Amino acid sequence: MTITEIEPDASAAPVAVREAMAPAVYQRLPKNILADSVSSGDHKVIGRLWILGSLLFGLFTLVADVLVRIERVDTDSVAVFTSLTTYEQWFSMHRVSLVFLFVVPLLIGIAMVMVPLQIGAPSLAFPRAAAAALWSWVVAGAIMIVSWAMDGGLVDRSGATVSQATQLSMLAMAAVVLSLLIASLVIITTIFTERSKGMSLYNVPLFTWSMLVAASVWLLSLPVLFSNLMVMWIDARGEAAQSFGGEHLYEQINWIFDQPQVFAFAIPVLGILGETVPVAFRRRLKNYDMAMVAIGAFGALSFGAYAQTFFNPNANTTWLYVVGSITLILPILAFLGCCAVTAKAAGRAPVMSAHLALSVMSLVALLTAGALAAVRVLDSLLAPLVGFLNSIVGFFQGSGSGSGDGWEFLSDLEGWLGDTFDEIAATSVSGAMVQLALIAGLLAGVAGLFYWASKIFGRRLPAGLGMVAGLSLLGGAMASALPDAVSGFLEQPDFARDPDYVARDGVEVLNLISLIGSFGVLAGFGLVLLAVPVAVFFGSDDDNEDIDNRNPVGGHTLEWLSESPPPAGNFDGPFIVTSEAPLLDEDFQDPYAEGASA
Amino acid sequence: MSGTTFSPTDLAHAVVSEAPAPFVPRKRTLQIGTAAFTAIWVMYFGGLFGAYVSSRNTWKLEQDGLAAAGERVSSWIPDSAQVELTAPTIMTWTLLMSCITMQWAVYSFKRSDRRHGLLALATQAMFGAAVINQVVFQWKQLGLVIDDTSGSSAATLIYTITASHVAMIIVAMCLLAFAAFRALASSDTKDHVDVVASAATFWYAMVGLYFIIWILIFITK
Repeated sequence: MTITEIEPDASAAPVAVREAMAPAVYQRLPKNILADSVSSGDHKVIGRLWILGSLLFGLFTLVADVLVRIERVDTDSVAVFTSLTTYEQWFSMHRVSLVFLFVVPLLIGIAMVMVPLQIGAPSLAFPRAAAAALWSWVVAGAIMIVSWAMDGGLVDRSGATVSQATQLSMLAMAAVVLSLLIASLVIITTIFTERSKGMSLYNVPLFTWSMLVAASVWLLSLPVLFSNLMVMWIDARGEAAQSFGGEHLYEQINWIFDQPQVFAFAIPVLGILGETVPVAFRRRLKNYDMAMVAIGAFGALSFGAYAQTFFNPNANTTWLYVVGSITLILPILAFLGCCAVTAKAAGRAPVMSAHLALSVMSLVALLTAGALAAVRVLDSLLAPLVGFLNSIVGFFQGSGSGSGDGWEFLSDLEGWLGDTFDEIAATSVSGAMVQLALIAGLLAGVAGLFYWASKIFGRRLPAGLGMVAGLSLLGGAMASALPDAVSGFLEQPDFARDPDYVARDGVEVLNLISLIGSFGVLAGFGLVLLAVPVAVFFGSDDDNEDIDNRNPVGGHTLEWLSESPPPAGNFDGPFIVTSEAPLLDEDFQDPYAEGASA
Repeated sequence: MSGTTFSPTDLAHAVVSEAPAPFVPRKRTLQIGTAAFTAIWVMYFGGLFGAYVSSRNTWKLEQDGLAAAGERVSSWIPDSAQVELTAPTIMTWTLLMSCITMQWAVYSFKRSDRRHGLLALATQAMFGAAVINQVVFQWKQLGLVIDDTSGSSAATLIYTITASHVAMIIVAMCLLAFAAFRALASSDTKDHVDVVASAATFWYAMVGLYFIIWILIFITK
């Protein structure tokens, strides 16, 4: 027997062999799906399992969100949960699971399937590491939820020591973070090393680029969260741990759910939009370089590991934080400009589709979240400016002696800015921003599922269902977040509820609207969950001969050359790529084209 | 010439089945993966160092306030703890020496010098074990207890940082073992020098991080 040091080239195998090697999940009623899934190193199977896991955890997360909002309707008593601490534990859990069990894993799952296809690679860089990350994430996520059910969570008011359930929550969350870090590492390495010939980092597809930026920001910021968790856990091992324990647990990791870090979980919104808009207009994206810079800048501005108010109470008034929060919206607008120029250059209406609608909805949610982020730091920017202006007025009123008092109007404005905006830092304005940013990430993920459904699920998803789901998700998110933003100005706290807190007039009505909105989000998500079985079991337009099964959406990138669903090894031949949209290049040699040599 | 004749296909088959497979240079997958893995550790320690410095500064400001009010003040690291410089300094030098042996290992593997490569890695493993031994000694010597009676969080942070570094040393040694098996089991060690170089990258980062720990915790206290 010949001993080689190279893996057999799956793509070189005959078609019959490749079909035999293809995981059974491609078939409608697979016989050994469990064995294939658990043992698979195929990036598509791993990615699908990330997606499946995130959708299941997502259902749990959104139900928890509804429960928390029901509790908030009546601010005078605790109705749903057994105590105020339990409410706070559930609140912290739904936010942790929204990020780490739902939105980020969903985007990672899509990236695991699509990134190798987009760059023309047969596999991920470290497929076994990707599988290890998946299974450790599943197990740790389940343990995390169980620990919360056992009175764990990141709030512990039980006394001098931290309960064992809370310690388990910390460790489980640390394991979840570690899994996501390994997954990010795999994605980054794949993009750096597995690209097709001729595909430089300057002409990778925009989704791949956005995942490179996002995974890099996660890779650099999540270890800091991991360090927070380790400090909390080791502190909890002490006999009288209090420095980093007790009521301060959630406070220490709150920066991950605050601006600018929370926007790091929505970076792929721009990448998905960069895929769907050119396809809808049937032309290349204009100013591609600008779009890449915008995504990179958005990623850089969303790095928030430095903004830890637990260790530095003034962190959210530093110039870096304030300027970063104000300018966060600029890359989004720049990207929007690229899309608008593309639309103008196309000179025709876009081809409407569910994925286009969903990706535009995700952009709307992201823009609203960006605007709220800017509002939250408005006083830090405007109050010094107004104060400076007032001192200049005072200087001239005093005929250059500097003894004038300035305008009363400006003094009042400065005082109002300080009083109003200082207080909203920890109110539900923050919660509204977080909700919208994460729903933007979720909508982008759903847009990705609809766009690449033929590659991910082997079937196109029903477009009508996708549109309705998107409207419900966006409408629900707006209805739940915007009342929160208003009640934030009425001093409703975002998280910890002081037992003596008395809600101002109108807050309970706003909370009721917010609850109705969260039902809308849940309903929209239910429709997304429904779309996959509907497509798989009741079929779609796959049998329509007018539709190219390989490229049903008319995409411009390499993944649309593979079969739907792609076989093991993905492609029959290597590619030589010369631009970001190779399928539009006249000189691109398509190995699948009729008459092309194998 | 009489007897059996071979067709070109048979000859090709014979060559394929008898000759070792040609070595195909890998992409830089492992190096880039290791660089990303190292970045995770660096940022992890960055978070810990940030927490340490800000907690210590906050503590000192509080103590300055108490001193100004004429009240009794206490030190960041409790007086009951014994912070000796000897062990951390020896560890620093040990790790610095290990950088030389690490480079020796990479150089040897690059030159297909299996014997020196193995010797260098064995020395490297010994250095790593020695440092772990010294950390355990130092923990016993320190006598720090994680409690909040003094209000200082120094014990929590020092244990978290030093224990995390021990974990990093163990990971670095595992990478070395993997590199050793991979390189020494091959026909030519220079074909696998990227594995050793990747392990070396992680090792150097580990040494650099200890250097910061040495300054931050033990020199500036």
